[in-house]
Amino acid sequence: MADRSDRSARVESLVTGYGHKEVLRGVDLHIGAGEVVALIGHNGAGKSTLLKAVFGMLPVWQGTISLFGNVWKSWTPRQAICLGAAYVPQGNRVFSDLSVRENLEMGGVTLRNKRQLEQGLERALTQFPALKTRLRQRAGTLSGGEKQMLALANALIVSPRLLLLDEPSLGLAPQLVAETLRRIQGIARTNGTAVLIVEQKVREVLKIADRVYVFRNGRVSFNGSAKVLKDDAKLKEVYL
Amino acid sequence: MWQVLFNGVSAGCSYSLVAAGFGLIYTVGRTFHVANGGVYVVAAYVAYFLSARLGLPAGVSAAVAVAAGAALGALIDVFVCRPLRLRDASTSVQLIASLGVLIVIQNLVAMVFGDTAYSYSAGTDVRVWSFGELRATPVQIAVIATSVLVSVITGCILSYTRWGSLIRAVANDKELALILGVRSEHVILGAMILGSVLTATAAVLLAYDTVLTPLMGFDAVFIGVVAFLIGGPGSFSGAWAGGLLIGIARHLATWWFSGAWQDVIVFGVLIVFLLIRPKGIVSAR
Repeated sequence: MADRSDRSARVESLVTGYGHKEVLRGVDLHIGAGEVVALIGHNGAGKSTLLKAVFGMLPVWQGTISLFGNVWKSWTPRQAICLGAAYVPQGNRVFSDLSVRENLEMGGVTLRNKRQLEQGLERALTQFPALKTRLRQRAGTLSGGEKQMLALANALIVSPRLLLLDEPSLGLAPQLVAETLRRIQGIARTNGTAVLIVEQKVREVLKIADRVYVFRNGRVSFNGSAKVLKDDAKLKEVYL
Repeated sequence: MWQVLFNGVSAGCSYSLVAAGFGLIYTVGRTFHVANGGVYVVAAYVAYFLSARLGLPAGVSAAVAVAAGAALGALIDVFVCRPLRLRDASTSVQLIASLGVLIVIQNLVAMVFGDTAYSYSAGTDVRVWSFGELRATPVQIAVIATSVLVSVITGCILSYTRWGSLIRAVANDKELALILGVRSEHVILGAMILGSVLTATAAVLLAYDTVLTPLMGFDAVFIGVVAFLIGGPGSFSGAWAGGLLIGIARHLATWWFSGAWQDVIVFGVLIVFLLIRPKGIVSAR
């Protein structure tokens, strides 16, 4: 049953994978409002798979996922959005053939009426003022950094309570990485959004994360405060 | 010469609609929807029987025929294409299923109406309007006007409406659309219906001009495939231009050589295009 007061998302003993291939072998994880939680680990350790499972893009083989008190065995992405989740896949994907404004409208496609959409657009444009002058431009012509902003803005239109980010820094110029991560931290702090972020740039993401889960072979090998891992020796110990 | 060109443009205008219908469905479905040829056959026969046999006014029978085509397109999607998509069927499976639907429809039409070729032309308007050296029949003018009007309306729907941007979004990146909560199955169904309307409109227009046989669906597929390749896969306007070009090429071929050369020339044009502009007139991305 839905418990409205539950402000956290949790994953318990989750086992899932693609086809017959098991990727996650029993993962426990939780995240609360306003928190930034980083998932780090080697390629293929199951970080992205976890995001997809939470967002309803993979079937749950065993275990449970609950979003803000709603415990479901399976949901579609559309239902996950209605429960308060939003997902930004790898590669800062936007609709390259559509204008920036049309992209943002797609971000708000689940909203019930035009007024909500206008409010969402307004909020997104306050958060990303650089997009304001480009509303009529085709998204395919934006720079890498702008595409990244648009991809984030698309997910924020619905004012999610849980934001799932898969390597937002991928393909960005080095000087943009820190700025992007700080902006993401800002979203968590000002909107009270829970941010679950997969990132390969470990040192950078540790600067903005509150807690960290280290993934290894489909299991969580370490979880704890990000501060602890800022100590290089400890990071090496859990990560290598 | 100008007369031949004009006749070509007139025929090309209806081919354009056929091609645009196929092109639009391809953009969202990512398979060549051969079964759309069945929509073409049914729409042409419905229009013929309502107006030539039951004596309904041309406008009414055309409207009913287009509606029937749209409904058939929707049924094909819901009962054949969608189940295959949901099971992640490969492109070739979808193509073969689609071809199967076309064959079933053509044979059903043959069972109901017989194999005889029907033709409107006897008894219809034989007036000819002259514009300088050009002679145009009212049917030709109606074909050109309808085709341009329907294409412009479709273009506006695609560019300026919410439905249109949903179709373009799904065509652009179906997975991203899903992630943002777009009900892509509804959008694909909508695009199928819109594509069927284009094809059915073309069928009604061509029915005034050509003979009707149950196998005419293959004709539509032929025009659709060639125009699609010439115009650039996945491009609505490219397919449209490709259709127009086929109409002109066919008529010029008949004028220079003979009717038997029509399709030789059309394929010749296709080969030239594949050699010099393999991505089509409007190269997608």
